[in-house]
Amino acid sequence: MKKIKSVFVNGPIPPEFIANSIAKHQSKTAIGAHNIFLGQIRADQQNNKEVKAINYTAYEDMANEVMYTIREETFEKFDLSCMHIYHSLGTVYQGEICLFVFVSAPHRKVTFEAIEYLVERIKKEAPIYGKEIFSDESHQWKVNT
Amino acid sequence: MPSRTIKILYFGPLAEITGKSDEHLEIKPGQTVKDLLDHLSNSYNALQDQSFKVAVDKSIVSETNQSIDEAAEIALLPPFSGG
Repeated sequence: MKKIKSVFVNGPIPPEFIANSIAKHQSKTAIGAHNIFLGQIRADQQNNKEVKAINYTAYEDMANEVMYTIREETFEKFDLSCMHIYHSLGTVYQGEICLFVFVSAPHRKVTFEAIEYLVERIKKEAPIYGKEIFSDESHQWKVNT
Repeated sequence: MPSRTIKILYFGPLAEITGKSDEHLEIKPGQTVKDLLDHLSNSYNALQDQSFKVAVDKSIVSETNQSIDEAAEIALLPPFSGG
């Protein structure tokens, strides 16, 4: 089996990384539309406590295989030029970016559909776990709805 | 067929319950996913109250009567919360 590229990044995804990723596409001139989804850590209020950070862990081998499958199936379904997925592991503080999904295509319409399709599948199918850390250092395990 | 060792992986809240992220267990031939889960529930009573899926060698199983004779790695996966 071919080596699957890991989607995981340690810690938050820096805005500079996202900017560089966009810049790298300037040479791909068949592209006419990019679409980007960024997941950011929300300072959720629960029982008078605030979420300070989320600590992410994952079944990395399986998550990378799942992401690979989602990626292949998205390419089959939509006419895309390229696709990039990055997800954080470890601690990501409120306001920081934990998920970066980037699709590009000759025309805009499929990019809107593909980005939503991708994000929903990633949240539903990838074995990734977010532990919400509150300001008083207590924690609870997040569950995707 | 002699008994052999398989790796069990625990994630999220389940790793807190078991106090470990993985362990090796000796498995006799002819065991199923259900046999393994019964065994683990005995070792860790609090697992009985938890909702999770089971992945055998990175594939989520739909039937707990599936044999684990060929399995190398079995993961207990609580609800996902990526993104």
